[in-house]
Amino acid sequence: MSTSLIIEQAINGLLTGAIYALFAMGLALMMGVMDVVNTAHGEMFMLGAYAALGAALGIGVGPWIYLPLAALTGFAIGVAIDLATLRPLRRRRGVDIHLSSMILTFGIAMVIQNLALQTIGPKFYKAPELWPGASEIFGMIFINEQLLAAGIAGLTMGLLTLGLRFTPLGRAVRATAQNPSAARLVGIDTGRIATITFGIGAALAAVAGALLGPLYYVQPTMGSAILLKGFAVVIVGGMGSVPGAVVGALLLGVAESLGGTVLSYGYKDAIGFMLLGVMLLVRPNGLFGTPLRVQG
Amino acid sequence: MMAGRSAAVLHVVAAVSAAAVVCLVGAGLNDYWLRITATAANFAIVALAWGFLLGFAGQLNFAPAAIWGAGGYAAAILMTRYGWNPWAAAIGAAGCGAIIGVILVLPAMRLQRIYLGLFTLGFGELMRLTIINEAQFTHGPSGFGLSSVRFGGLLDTSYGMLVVTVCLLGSAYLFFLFLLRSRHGLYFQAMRDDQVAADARGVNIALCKFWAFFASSIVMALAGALFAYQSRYVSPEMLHVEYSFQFVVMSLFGGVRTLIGPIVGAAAITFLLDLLRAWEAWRLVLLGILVCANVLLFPHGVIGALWSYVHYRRADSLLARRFGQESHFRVAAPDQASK
Repeated sequence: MSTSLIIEQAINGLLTGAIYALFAMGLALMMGVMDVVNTAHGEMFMLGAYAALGAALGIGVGPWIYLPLAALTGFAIGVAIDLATLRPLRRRRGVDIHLSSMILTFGIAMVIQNLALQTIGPKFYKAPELWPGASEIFGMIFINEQLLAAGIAGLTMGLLTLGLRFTPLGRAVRATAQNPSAARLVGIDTGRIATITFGIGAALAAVAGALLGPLYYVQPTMGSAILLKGFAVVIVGGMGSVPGAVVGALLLGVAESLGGTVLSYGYKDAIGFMLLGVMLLVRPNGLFGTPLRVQG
Repeated sequence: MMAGRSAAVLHVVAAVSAAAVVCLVGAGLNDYWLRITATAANFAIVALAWGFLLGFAGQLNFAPAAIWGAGGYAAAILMTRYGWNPWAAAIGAAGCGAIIGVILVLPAMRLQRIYLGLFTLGFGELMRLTIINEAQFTHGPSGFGLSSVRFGGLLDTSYGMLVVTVCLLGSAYLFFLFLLRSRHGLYFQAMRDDQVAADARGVNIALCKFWAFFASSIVMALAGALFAYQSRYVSPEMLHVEYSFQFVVMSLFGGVRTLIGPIVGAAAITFLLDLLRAWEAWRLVLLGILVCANVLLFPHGVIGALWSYVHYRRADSLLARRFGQESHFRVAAPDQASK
């Protein structure tokens, strides 16, 4: 294989990885701030894709309207789910929040996915392309749609990082992630922060879904595959670490893209889990993780 | 649940007579219901092994379906490629389960709780993808049928399948029961409650984890082999995460701090989904709502909630008899949430 092909594949992997990163960022935020393992993240991704698809095909609006619309849909659904189910769970003492939230959100995922199957049906849809064709950069060929999606994903992540760093709300979110009781002591309403975090995480998943709409097919079970990859990425990056999740996702994108070319294509989806296994043997805390708490 | 020798005898008698009753009633069922009952019993075996692993040994394994499916594949490949007879192939499947169990002990030594859970989730998916890709052994994504295999005897009829499955369920129940009543049962529970403290008191954590994964994986793989015999077909779908979660949900629905809970949960959910066949995807919406209710309203499962209610009533009435209705010595209502 020639060097330019390898570079081309690596960059393609980074482009896919950017969308994984957007997805995994929400997952990592939820784990870091509220210790919630969100199995319904794939369904939020799917709902975002449908919201964007509906707006694009039904009303005929462009991406600058349907992307925020998908984000808003995701945020509203996330907040509703949190208030209805996760908040009562948080208020209980002595619960293994990781396992309970994982099973709880699995129930929610089942409800959402089957409602979608029953109402929209298992049909495959494809969102309209925004920027058809491909461009040639330094002799390497890239699909425009993918460049655009990765660009928007990068922009969203950049904005979120700035928000987390410099706004009062972002500081409150980070404080809650670091030490919830200390955050409460200085007057942060950690319950409210958790609800908002869940909403933001869901919105990120929804935007990722909306961005993948024109690249892949939209259908009710599209969330399952990316969910498992998201979990792998979040562990590789270190549970609950947002920069870790982003780096892990980019790494996964590149590994998948190169591995799909070097190894057989059938094992492409397995690479994430291999990465996970190797990482756990070499460095169980993940790339950016803090040492594991011994017992919860 | 485990006190005294008479209680042990009672459990054995109860398990044997329950199995006998199912087998007797089965004689009067038509083929369709025989298959459903055998499926429920099969799922109950896996749910039981999973519930044992989490509820008594405290190890989270999100790949029960991968072990179950691997057992099915191992038996199917041994029969079709190497011409083993079904009983020998089932033992081969158990061996396959044992190997997977031993492999899973390695991450279990490094990781705990949800970290182990997410690792096993990935491990199961890796196994499914391997089976899809190694098509020269497994016939790839579509799986393969066992029509070329001569089963003969009990395994040829639906009724015989039901009897064999129920016998395995009964044996698995008694096996886990006696494992828990032994010294090791206490070690398991000490490890579950506080691994560091158990380690400090001299419990061999590595050995405990080994036995817990080894035993539960063998049982899961055996159930998978029986499922392959029953459906005469194996496909990579058996290893899918959806199946794993199905076993998890069944187990938690019944309650994992008892051995009977997962069996009840598996039977309840299998029959419920079958009775509501006509509802198509709506029944899964209903199941999703049940899962949420399970976590929020009865986190220790149906049986757990029932048990604590019974114990509460018994203790309450005892105290009331001793100290009068108005006494201060009333038992606080059982706190479902506390561990």
